[in-house]
Amino acid sequence: MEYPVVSVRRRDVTGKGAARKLRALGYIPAVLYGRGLDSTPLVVNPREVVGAFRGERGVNTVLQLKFAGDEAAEGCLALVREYTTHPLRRTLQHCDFLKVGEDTEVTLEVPIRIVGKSEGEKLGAKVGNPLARVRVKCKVRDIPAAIDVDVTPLGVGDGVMLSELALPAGVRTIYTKDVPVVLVRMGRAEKEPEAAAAAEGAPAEGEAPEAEGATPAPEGK
Amino acid sequence: MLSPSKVKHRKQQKGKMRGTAFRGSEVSFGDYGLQTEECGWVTARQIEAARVAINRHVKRGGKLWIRIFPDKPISKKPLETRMGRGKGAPEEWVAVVRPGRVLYEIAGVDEATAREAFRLAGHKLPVKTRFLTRGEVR
Repeated sequence: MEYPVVSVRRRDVTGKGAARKLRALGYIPAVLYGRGLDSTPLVVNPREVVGAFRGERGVNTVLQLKFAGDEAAEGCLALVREYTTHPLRRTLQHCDFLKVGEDTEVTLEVPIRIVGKSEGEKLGAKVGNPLARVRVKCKVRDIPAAIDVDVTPLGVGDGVMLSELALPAGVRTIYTKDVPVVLVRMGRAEKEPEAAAAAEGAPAEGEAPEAEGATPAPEGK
Repeated sequence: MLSPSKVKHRKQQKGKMRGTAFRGSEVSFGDYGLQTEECGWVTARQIEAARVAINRHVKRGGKLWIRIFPDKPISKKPLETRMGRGKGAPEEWVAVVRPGRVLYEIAGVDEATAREAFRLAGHKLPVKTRFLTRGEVR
């Protein structure tokens, strides 16, 4: 199987000062760890990692790490276990790589993808997706891009539970409570504007006149 | 409207709003979020108005999280009062937000609905906001 290649370099400096200098140069600090491997500080180009995220598996993409400038070091497969982004710029700030093999079993969150148009939708219902991602356990080579849920046979009031998902071979879901993944329901009936305001917006909108009335003009002036 | 049930001190000083949000800047519960790009005080009334705007647009389905809480009392002096004679009476509650703070999160709705609901909510708020998806990286 082909995996996107990300070139990394070993890092011998640590601390926030060194990390900031790296970021100023356009690189980010990263770390590689895994079974039988000591935690290894790395330097990586964030563009390569973000580019890999744009693939169909998103953040669950398996990367082929290649050690640049170190011919003796063997590359390895890795998953991005955790990453930090800048709160505003949303750029990568740090990355954790988990060393894996093709047969390593991993636990991941995989998105749900709704396929088809349900019977209920033809009657005006809406397909809700209360659970957008499911936690699955599978081998690295079997990581699915998404779990497809076919809603074509679903009528109004029907749904698909977590336990009823059609999973690809080698993938199993992990959950403690069986919850609905997809629900087909009618939208809330349109109310009269005044009735809707009374039912829903009363606390917020009803207080505006009160607030104005709370500072009455002094009488007798 | 949101307000604390009990406070240690009735009145607070104004304070500063330096830097960016270092907590609460990720979409942690839902699928989409409304993030502030500016710092400011968001009053309990504004939080409620934005919540109502989101719920009205979403109609049914979906779950909403409010990620801010107005825990800062703002005092005001009555109109036409001479200066001095102490600090005014507590008038309202605000949440202090710094750039990057996620204000609302939503799950169980499609992106277009969430985008429009948050656009409407953004108009009720005193800060510039933007739409954010879970795990967004640039």
